[in-house]
Amino acid sequence: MFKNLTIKSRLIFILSFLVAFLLGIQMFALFGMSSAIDGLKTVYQDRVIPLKQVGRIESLLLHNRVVFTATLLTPSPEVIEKNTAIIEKNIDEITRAWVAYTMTYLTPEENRLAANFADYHRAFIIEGMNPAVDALRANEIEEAHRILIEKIRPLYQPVDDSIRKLIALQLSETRQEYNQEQDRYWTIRNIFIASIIVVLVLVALFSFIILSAIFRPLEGVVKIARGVAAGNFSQDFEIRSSDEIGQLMRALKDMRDSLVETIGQVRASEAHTLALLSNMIDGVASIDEKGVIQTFNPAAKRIFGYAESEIIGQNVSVLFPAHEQGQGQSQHLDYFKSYPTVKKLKGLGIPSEVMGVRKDGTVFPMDLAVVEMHDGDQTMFVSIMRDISERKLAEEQKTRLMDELESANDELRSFAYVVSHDLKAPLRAIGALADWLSTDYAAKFDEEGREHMRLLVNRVHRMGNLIDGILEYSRVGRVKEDLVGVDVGQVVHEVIDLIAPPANVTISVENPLPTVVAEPTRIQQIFQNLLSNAIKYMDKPRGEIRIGCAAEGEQWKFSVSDNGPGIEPRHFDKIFQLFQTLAPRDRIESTGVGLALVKKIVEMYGGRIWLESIPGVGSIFYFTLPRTTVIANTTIGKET
Amino acid sequence: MKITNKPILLVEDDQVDTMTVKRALKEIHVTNPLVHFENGEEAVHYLRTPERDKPCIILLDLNMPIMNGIEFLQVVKHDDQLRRIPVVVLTTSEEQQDKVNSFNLGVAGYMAKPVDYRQFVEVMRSIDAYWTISEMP
Repeated sequence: MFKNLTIKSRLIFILSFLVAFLLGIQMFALFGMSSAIDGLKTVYQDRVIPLKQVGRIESLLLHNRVVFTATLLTPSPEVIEKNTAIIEKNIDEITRAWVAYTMTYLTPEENRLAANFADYHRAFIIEGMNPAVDALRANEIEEAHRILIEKIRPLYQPVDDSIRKLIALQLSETRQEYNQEQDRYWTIRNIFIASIIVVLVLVALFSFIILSAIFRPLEGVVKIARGVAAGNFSQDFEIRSSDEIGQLMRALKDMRDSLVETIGQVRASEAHTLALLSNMIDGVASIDEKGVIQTFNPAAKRIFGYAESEIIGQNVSVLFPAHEQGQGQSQHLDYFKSYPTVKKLKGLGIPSEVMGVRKDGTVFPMDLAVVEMHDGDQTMFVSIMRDISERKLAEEQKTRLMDELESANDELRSFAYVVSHDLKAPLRAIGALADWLSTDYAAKFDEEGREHMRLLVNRVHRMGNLIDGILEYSRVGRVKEDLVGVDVGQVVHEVIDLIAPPANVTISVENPLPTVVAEPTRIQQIFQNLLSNAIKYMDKPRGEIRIGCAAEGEQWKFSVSDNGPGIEPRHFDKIFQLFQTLAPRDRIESTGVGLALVKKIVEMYGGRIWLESIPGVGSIFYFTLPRTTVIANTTIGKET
Repeated sequence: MKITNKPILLVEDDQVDTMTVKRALKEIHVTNPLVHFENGEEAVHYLRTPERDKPCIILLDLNMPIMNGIEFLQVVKHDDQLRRIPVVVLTTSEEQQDKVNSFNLGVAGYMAKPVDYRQFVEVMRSIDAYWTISEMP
């Protein structure tokens, strides 16, 4: 139990105990002293005073006898007068002293002797002294003599004896009591000395306890702390108590444990870093302030072709070609010289492209990033290098390909223009000439010749339409119009007016159409192609075309449905391809550009187009256009 | 044309197209003399020759060698003597940019040459009809 108390409470306990103990001794000593003084007082009052009184009585008795005898020898009236007065006075005094004596504490033995004396003395006074004094006053000397001989003398001896005995008893009792008091005093002194010794022993004991409870564990703690400081983490901790030392030990143990854990983590991290360094693709080298290479990881060795032993200790300048050292390398050296100037260079921390030189002397491009590190007063530089020769090669190839692509694209663009002018002009000439021939030489042609001329003009038209289709198709995405808010409802209305549907076809808009942000011409082209297709291929006596729109997530989903011939599902992909038609061109004149154009426009705006169709019943063409831009640009739409 | 004695200036490099214009004008009975140049430079030279009659209308092709139609317009429309002569562009190009440039330079009309000759005759008829009705300064 004592072990589980804190040192503080232990100390308090010990100190309180000592104080209580000392207080007890003090009380005891005080009590002993006062009782000793009381004893002495008793000795004085009960023994010394009565002794003095009985002594006085004895001397007065002796004096009376002497005075009486002297009176009898010279019985002159003056002497009688004087001596009888002395005798009476002495008797009075004796009586008073006796009364005082009897008032004191008397032992039974004393009482007996006192009673004995009192009897003799009373007889001695009444029968002896008083009549003798009376006789002397009456000047009856013989009578006085007779009284002396008959009464006083026989009584004198017992009175004297009894008082002597009393004195002797008193003396012996006084001595006895004094000795008793002396003994008591000795006893108290001895107890006192003994208790002082006990206190000293206790103090020594407590000191030992404190020593063993505090300083010994503390020394142990200090030893363990020194051990931890010296790096010994495997020490055994024995926490024996729950006091402050125990807490200190526990704290020390916790510290040691967390230190061990931290060191473990640091070591793991170090191992991790080392593994990372050894296995990373980038070359990593650390360089000191003077530019001397300190470490060189495997990737750096691979890049530069040096063995570790060859390169460590070399100056970093061996890694850079000589001509670079003129300007570029001076920069690199500056990296490793003074930080303020380095800060201004692009290289610190930010990768820059520089040329490196391998061991065999080949120069290659690399990315270089230099990071500055401070370790106390030392400044280190970590340079990270990546061989980018392959990347460079790939970049060059890419650039070349891009250039080729760009020029191909340019050619394609100019091709459209070429088609527009240089292909159309001769076509037009053919058309015109054919027309003139059939007009001017009509008489000279037979029926077959005229038919051939008609077919010639017809094919010229078809080719013209094809060229127009290609042009239109190539314009999508190439020719940019301003993106404005387009009221689709308005556009649809305009398109219907433009294509002027025949009387047997009705076109209805099922719900209000939204405003989208797009090029107006493109939206117009979408509806123009879809609607004109629906009209062109209509095979029912009453054609019904319906236009609808619904919001679907981020998109508007438009639909154009008809009750025409429908399309077989196997043709669903084909119809969106350029120049693909399902009907012979001689029957229904079509370039095969329309749906391809619609698809291109819809996809350009990030939408998609598809259809549902039941052959013989009809088709529904769906396409989507994004909604988000509409919301963002409604104000623009209103302004335009 | 309102004024029949003034010539029509045709700037056109294509021989058949020139024939087409001539034939169409003849077909719609336009009697004005036709002056023809194969490029803009020659036409400008003609226009700047004081003794020559100024044309009542210029029919202009855009795609020509030496000086194309747009360059021709830039010269003519910045010339105070020539800018009021109406210019109708007759071209194969349906490029938006060509149309914008032409109208920016103050052309009176922009006609795409139809492939079909009959349609071309109708285009020419419309031009004649318009410039017969229209007042000119």
